[in-house]
Amino acid sequence: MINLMNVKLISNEMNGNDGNVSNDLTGKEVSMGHRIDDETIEYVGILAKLSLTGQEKEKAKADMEKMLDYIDTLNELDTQGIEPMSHVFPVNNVFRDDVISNGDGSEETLANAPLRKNNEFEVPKTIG
Amino acid sequence: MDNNLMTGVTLGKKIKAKEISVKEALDSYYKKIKEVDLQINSYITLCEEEAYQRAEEVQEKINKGELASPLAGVPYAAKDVLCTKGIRTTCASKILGDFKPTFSATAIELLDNEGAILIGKTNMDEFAMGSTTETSYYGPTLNPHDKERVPGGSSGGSAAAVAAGECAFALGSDTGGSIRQPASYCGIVGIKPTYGTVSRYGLIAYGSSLDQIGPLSNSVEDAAIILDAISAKDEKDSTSVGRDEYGFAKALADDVKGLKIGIPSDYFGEGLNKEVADVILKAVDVLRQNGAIVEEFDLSLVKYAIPTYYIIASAEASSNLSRFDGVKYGFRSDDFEGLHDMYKKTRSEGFGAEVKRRIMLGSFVLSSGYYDAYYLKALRAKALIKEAFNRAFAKYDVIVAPGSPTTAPKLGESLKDPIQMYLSDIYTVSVNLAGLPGITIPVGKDGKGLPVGMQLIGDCYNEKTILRAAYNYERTVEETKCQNNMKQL
Amino acid sequence: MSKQYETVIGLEVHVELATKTKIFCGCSTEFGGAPNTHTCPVCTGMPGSLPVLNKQVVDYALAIAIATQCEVTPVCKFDRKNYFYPDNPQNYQISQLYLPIARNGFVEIETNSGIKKVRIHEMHMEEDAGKLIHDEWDDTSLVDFNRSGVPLVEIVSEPDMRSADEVLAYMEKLRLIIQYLGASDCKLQEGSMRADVNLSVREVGSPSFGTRTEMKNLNSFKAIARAIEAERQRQIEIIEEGGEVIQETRRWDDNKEYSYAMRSKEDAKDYRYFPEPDLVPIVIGEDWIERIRSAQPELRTEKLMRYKKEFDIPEYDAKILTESKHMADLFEATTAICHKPKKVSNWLMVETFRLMKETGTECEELIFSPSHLADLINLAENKTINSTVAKEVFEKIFREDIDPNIYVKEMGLATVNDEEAIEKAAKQAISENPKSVEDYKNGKEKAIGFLVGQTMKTLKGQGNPGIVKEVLYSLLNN
Repeated sequence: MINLMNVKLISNEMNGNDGNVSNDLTGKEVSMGHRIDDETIEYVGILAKLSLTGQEKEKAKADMEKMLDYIDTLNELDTQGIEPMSHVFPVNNVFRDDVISNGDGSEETLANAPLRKNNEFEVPKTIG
Repeated sequence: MDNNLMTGVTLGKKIKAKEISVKEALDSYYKKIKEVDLQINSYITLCEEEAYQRAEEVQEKINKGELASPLAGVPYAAKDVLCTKGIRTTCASKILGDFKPTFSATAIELLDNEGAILIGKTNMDEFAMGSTTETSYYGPTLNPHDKERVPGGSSGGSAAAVAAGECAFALGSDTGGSIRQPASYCGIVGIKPTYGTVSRYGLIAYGSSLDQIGPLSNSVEDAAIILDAISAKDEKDSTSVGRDEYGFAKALADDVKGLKIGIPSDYFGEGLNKEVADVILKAVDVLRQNGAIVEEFDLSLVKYAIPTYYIIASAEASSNLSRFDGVKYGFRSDDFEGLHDMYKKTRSEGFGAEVKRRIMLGSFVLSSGYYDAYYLKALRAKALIKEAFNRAFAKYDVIVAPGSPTTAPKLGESLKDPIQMYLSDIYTVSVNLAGLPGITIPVGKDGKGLPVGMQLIGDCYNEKTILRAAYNYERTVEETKCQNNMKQL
Repeated sequence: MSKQYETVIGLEVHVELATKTKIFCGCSTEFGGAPNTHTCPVCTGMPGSLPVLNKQVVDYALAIAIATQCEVTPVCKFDRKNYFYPDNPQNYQISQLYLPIARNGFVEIETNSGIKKVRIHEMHMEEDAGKLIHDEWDDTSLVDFNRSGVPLVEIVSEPDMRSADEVLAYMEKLRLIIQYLGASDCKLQEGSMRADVNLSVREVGSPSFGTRTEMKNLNSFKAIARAIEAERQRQIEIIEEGGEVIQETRRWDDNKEYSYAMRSKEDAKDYRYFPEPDLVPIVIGEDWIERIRSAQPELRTEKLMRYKKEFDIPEYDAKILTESKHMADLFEATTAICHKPKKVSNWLMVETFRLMKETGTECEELIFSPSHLADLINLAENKTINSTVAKEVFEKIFREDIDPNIYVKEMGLATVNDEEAIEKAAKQAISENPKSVEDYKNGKEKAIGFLVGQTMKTLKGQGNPGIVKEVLYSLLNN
């Protein structure tokens, strides 16, 4: 098991400390920024269920480093005391009533299955 | 003028007047598709059989007087990100294989109710991730105005199909500019309504908090009528918002007197192509001459929009796209050892490079130890961007922006540098972050003869205001065109 | 042993709510059903589908929160918990992390060591996963999404428990409360109540907690008790040997009575929670809480007090009867019809429990109607049937819920009160058993019993026992 605690990014700005950031770090200009190592790419691959070949891995590392450097532009922005906004509109309490509206859905559910056995999806064995 | 390029409204009127039958309308679009689509590649899937069958039903209803909608019998295309019952839906990805949804998107059903006829599914950037329609598994779409150039993206197939006369109008989806930017590149009208206006049910999600469905069309009137048809509170989408009144088409007054238009100076400075800026500012002048009050102002926070957008969209995408795993539908790798290897092989073989890039980024920014620094930070930045727009809309009715920093780039140019490609969304992404409505309309061409789009941004739920301004511009230009034609005679 | 250890236990209890439909779609939650029949695009993660929250889920969760003294979160939200597994169709579970529906509650439990408060850390709503069946022949697994999207409430306790006894008492208490609320049937064997056990050990007197493990797959109270004991010993052994307990998730195998670590390179345990963008916040105002509170049914403690006042039954009986909401409901409904609380209590306490034990039936599975039991009690009371017959008839009621009035008539089970018939049978018994008659006359009182039995036999067991005895006495004494 890979422990993320061991996967440290070499970064001077990733402490998540809003508003306490030097101003010379401006977007694209940051070139020394992030270093993504093999372990991190491997770990993210496990999370995302993507396996990358050697070449793809190098490309992914470079891409992610660039992207993270660019994203660092945000650190210029003082967001202290700002409430994170997940929904743009104050829409609340959208519910449905507890009434059965669906019948036997098995045929439609299974219609696109890559592999099915009778009325179930077949997958590689999950527990050894 | 190419018959296929008439507006949906004009075509609808001709069908109603029996000047043209529904079948003839279909014939003419399918004929056009057969002529041009081998080159342009707007479509991934055509559904001729279903369309002709539907045409008969619709014709009968029109004849009986049961169907009076302006869209009755009008053929349209839908971006392949929208589920269509029984018709292959691919998101331009290998991973969906020959997936045939068992239900249709609410927007598709609503158009069906109006008697509009779906003729095919259009090409797009894979899972709507891209700005050029080059990341499609089914090959790139070309810009009908210049076949060495991209049509924009991600709704590039929809935009190209409308511009090339391969359908009367099309539906697209817009997460960071994916309707407005290709509409600009292809010289047509595209509108992204306020978040929540059109149900997202049946829209295969990319960035759920940003995605909206909208029309791409040949006229502002078409856009308003289509938007009227597809806007509704949907019980199947918790984030859809009902309104007391829609009536977008009814609000199309040819009048902008006293309308307050703000031009963000930070949108028209560095980074914007000079020719594009000139064409747009000339178009703004048209509105000013018609009585609008135009002022420059500082919107601020512009450069933070793209990093904010990419964190939020990638994070949501990494989760939304995890359902594609080879278990329930679509592609499954045939060479694997055990469950997790099946997941990895299926997804690695099934997704293209850009999609994988965003899934990796999204998984990373949500991972343990980074959530606060990236994701929460982006949600806070989003709040600030929203505030900046609130301040602007306290002063202005409409904000004018370019649809894109340049006209359509050549094929292959953008993918070389992802960040450069991301930057081409700079004038469109903030609108998604703030949930605002935005429309792009064609306002002229650059020196190479490529279309330039002007974007009009409104405050939430104020589609009518931007539609009115867009309509006023369109009418003025049409009149000028007519006058010029008269002079030539 | 030189050192004394203390076990520290916290529980994550999952309860399937008793809604008719799933949490985010209109599919039935009914248990069983052919694979994938209770499914739709939403609960199978079809592309383009979206969740819409079932209001009843929030109502039930609130009822549980209020009954366990929790603070309700005024604005709560759903989050996505991301992990890949085939029973999880979207590969994320819609759950609550940042703003769960309720926090900081408690329940009181009673064990041999006295009364104690177990604090509840938080309580959240989430969706259940589908079911995986392992196909041994093909070495594959099969996925059934019928359970996918069934609403769950997860109740997370503080590490306040110190023994298996306390854990079981806590679970029993939660079960009682939730069953009383009607929010869940809490059947462990069907999985509608499940618990994960977080356990650590420390030396008695130590101010800090040891490293804990999480134990999954505990399907019965017995399994929970066994797993706790095994894990406690495993951890103590590690510490005694100078080792260190690893924080991990372990799976209990109740057949083999041991647990193993669920460790895998592919199992990163990094769930990347973030706010669910497809659902909107739930704003719970005072009025909503008040509505739930006022609709709250009487809970067990209140019920016990009322029984003491209203019904003349032993306290012991009241305690047993109220241990299950279903049993208490049966008691009250039957009493309301026949107005004989003592008799009703007797039938439930003796015959019902005996048959339940014999047939392995749970309270919730009892099928008989209160009116039939009431009718039976009346038949026995007015001596239409005698007690032996009554027991037989009750068994029929217990198993098939038959109508005793009709049954007794049809089967001709009514007590024979006809003195002539009884006298005839008694005379027959006397003439056929001279030995017993002699015994009786020689002072063996008991011999009368045998003669009663013989008389009843002739009467096919339907003789009114009082009259039979009377007649026999008068025949023998005269």
